[in-house]
Amino acid sequence: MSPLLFFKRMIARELPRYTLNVLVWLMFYTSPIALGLLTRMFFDSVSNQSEAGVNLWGVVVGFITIAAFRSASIVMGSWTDADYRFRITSRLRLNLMRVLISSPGEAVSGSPSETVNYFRDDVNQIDDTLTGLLDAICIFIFGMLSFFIMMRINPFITLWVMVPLMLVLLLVHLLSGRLQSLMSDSRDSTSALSGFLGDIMQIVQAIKISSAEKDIVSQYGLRLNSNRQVMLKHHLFNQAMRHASSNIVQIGTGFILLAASIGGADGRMTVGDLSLFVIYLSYAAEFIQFFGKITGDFKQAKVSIDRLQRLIGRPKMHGVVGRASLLNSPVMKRPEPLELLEVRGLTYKYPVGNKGIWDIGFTVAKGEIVVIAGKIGSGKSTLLKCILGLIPIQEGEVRWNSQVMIQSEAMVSPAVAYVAQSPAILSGTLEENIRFGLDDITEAEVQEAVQYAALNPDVSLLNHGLQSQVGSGGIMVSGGQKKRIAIARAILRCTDLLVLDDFSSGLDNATEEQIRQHLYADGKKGCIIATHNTNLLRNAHRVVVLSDGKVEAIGTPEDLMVRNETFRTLVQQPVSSIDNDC
Amino acid sequence: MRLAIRGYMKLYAVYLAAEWKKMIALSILLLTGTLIQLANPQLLKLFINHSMHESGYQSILIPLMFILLSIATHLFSLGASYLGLFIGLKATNALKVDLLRHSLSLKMSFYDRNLPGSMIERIDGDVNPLVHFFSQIVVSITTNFLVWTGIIILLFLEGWQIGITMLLFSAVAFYIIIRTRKLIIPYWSKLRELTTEYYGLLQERISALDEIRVNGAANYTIRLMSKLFDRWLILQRKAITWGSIPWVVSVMLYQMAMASAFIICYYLSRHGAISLGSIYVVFYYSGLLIKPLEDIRIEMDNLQQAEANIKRVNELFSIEPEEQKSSISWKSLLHYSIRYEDVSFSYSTSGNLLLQNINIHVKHGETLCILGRTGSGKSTLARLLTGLYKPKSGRIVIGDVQVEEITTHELRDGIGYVTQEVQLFHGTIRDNLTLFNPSIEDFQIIQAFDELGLTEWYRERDKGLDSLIGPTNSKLSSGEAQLLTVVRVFLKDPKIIILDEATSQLDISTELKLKHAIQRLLQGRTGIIITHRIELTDLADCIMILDQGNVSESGSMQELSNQTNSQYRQLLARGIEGGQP
Repeated sequence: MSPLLFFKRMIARELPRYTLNVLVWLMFYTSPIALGLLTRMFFDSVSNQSEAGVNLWGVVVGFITIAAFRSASIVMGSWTDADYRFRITSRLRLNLMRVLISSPGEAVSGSPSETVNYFRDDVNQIDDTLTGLLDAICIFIFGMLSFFIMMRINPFITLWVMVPLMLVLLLVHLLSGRLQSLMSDSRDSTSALSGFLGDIMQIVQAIKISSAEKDIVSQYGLRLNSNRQVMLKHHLFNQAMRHASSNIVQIGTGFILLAASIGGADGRMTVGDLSLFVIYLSYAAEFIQFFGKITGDFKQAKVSIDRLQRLIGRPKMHGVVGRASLLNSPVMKRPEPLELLEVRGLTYKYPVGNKGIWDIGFTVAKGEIVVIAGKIGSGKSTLLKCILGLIPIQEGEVRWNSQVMIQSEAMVSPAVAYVAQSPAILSGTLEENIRFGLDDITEAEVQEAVQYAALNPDVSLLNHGLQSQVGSGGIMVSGGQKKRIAIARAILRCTDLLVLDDFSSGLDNATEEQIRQHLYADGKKGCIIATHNTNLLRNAHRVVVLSDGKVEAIGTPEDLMVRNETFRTLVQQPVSSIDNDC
Repeated sequence: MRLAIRGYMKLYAVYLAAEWKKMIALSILLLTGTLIQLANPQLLKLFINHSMHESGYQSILIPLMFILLSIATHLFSLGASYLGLFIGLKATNALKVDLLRHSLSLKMSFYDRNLPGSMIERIDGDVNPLVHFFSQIVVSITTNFLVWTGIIILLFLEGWQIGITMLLFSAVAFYIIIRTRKLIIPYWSKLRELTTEYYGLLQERISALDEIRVNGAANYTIRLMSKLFDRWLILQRKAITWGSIPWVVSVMLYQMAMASAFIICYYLSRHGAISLGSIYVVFYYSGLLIKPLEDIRIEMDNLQQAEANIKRVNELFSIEPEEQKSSISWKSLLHYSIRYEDVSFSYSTSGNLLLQNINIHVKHGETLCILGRTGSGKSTLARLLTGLYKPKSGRIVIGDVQVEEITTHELRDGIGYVTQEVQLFHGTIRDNLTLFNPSIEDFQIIQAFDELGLTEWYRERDKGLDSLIGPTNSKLSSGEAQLLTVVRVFLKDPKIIILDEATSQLDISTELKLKHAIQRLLQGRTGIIITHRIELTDLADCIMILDQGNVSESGSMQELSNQTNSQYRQLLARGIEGGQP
């Protein structure tokens, strides 16, 4: 999406607020017009020496009025500016989040903090460009107005002043590309330098035992030195351009004087005219600065927009910036109650390496507990994610009562609930983490889920019970508690299909036994559970043994005990030694 | 505050002393630039009084002069800005180098507590803002003050009434500028809290995307964020609006200055006491009066920030480096036998002893193999020998001299130590192996490759020794990475060799190749081989088994394998059966 189209769409959503904001700032940016005219009046009256000509207090009142007017428009403009910009960017942020949640997990390939960067740096860049755009519009209008007035006062001198102004503008435009590349050089060099420092700090021991301190320090010095050259180059260039535009006032004034001297009759001007010209010139100089900034900003914004597009995909980008509000997505229609889930020929290969799952097939009926077993790295979690549509199915299908499920839409609550291998516990209260958005469910049902997940002894020990805070990332609760909170969360959803990744890690035998009994007694759900837990392996309705991403055997535990070697070793290993690995 | 100022002066003295010539040049540039900048409007006055009043404006001399001086101002300020950054960067770079040197001289135990990320922050992050401190703050405060004083003087010259008015005006203005600054701070810190909250929330949710999706919490998540945005919007508007106050003040003061100039000039002109040119200049100067005052205020803020950074820098400097009471030269040692006498050690000050009364003797030219489970304290023994850590009690003697008394860098130069941790960095193969020691020649590296069976691997590199590698480089298997760290030892001529699990990542055939190389390396040198694999024991003259910080067995290979119930025999039996310990 081009930046222009992007900004057009974004602004279209907040058009009334945007228009108001433009109007307020236009008042601010065009007020120097009056300032110039007033000053001109003052000087012309003083120089005429006519006593009656000068209405001093009129001028002073005029001045104060302009000051008040300018101040008021700054305050008002700050408010309207913050308002519309925040509305635009916050909607962008919300819509991005909405898209991330609804697209398969593969979309977010980087670390969470990398993904946060999109929300921070890229959205902020777009925010900056929005302001820059507005300033540019306003200053352009001021420029036109002042040009018109100056032309009326003295066209000859006006055209003369335009010469240096246009030259600098041209210069800024021509060199902005070079400036950009110098800036990125300077940034790259600086970040490479701190990368080197970080590397040094990683290998301190190696440095010490090789007694290489001296050489390392002098190498660091050398690199600092060459970084200095790059930074200075960028600085000089940048400053030259900035000074050129701020100095345009002085040089322009010089040109006015020059034009007045050589223009003869054409160059005739009063001191008042001079003062007006100089005032307009000083505000026009801002234009050059903004002009340089907005070209740079636009280039940066393009990069950011492209990045966002890469994150969520081109088709969704239109949804994100389009008119439609994504605040509430349509509630999914609950599929008919599950009788039989069929997994057929499911295949997913990771883009890098040779890991994945190939041609997996099995069924889960209502009330059945199917256990996925296999050594570490055999593809258990991948299989679960693929069934849930968290990673795309490359081949094969998942059928719900013989209806083919459309991947990214169907496998969500209320039909399905999921307990991840290391469940996410979010800062907030325990209850918030269990409800996870289900606000209309009764307290009694929450208690029931807590009971189911064998969390009640833990809850009763807490000072605030279910209202206790779990801390950022669930830092206040143990690994086993996290697991059980997530189980309670899943149970509360009254689902047809429960998917549990890694059932028993962090659970002691008694609690694990308790939950297991609840699962057996349930009978209303189909369960798919990946686990090493020997009790569960022995007592499942069916076990799917995976090995290197392929089905090695499927059958009842008794059956597999007889004919499958992998299953036997999995069942015979002591529980603790394996679960520690997860 | 007085302490802070002394801190500044000290840093200034140390890091700017070398640049005093440039500092003087900078001052001259700034002073001249300021003078020109202030003098230039005088030309306007001349022009108005002489040219504009007469019928024709023939003189193009004044306009040309004016343009010339404007360009000169431009060049002077550009030069000053360049020179300022030059000095600033030189000073901060020198400071960074000193900080790194100091950091590397700190004890290893310091690095147990301080992660690389925080060290980058302390050397790089804390110093970067000081560029401005060294190059700008003082200079900027001085120039701005000069500009302001200059303007006031020039205004006095136009008329004492004007001077007095503007002097009083700027006093009031400065007071207002300082006061309004304090008004807006609370909003900004609240805003920062909210921003932090949002990004925390966001990061949490992004790491939980899968569960949010499947468990149907999408709307809930969006609702939660939307609620936060509602709060944020209100605060953002408030903060931005209050934040505009300094700007409003600046606009108001500017206009007031002009209005005052008008009033006073009007009265003076009615008495015929002032020329039109002078009025114009007064008006011109009055417009310039506020900015230097605002700039001074900004620099005062910057100074406060710099103060915090300087404090952190000084904190790092004040941490005690490794003791350097050593004076005995490594070369003066008569032989390189190793003796641990009743050595005890613990990493924490109060914790259990990791090593308890260890006694070891390795004769010159012999090799000891230390076996033991992970966590038995094997690696610590090696670290103590190289002086990375000091024993709690007991002493370690090389030749007849205690380790602490040997010059540290000579000691470490004289010991070839392959650590268990494979420590490589992003850089060329050469730099990774030599650690920037310029005296190591390329042929030596290639020779070492040859000896370690790395030649084939080396031939596959596209840029030879200039090929880039890194700590987490997929081109480099963990075994290759480990072999590279072994190369480092082959590049020096140590008297003592320590190999700490140097073959843990290698497959059997590579290990065998390496074993031969090591055997050659150990000839005529004293060696310690630390391993949990039995395969390397036949390189050793004697064997020691370490168990929970105690020597549980020691003796020659012969002795131990003859003892029927020795642990060594058990290990040997298991090793031969092919199992890993």
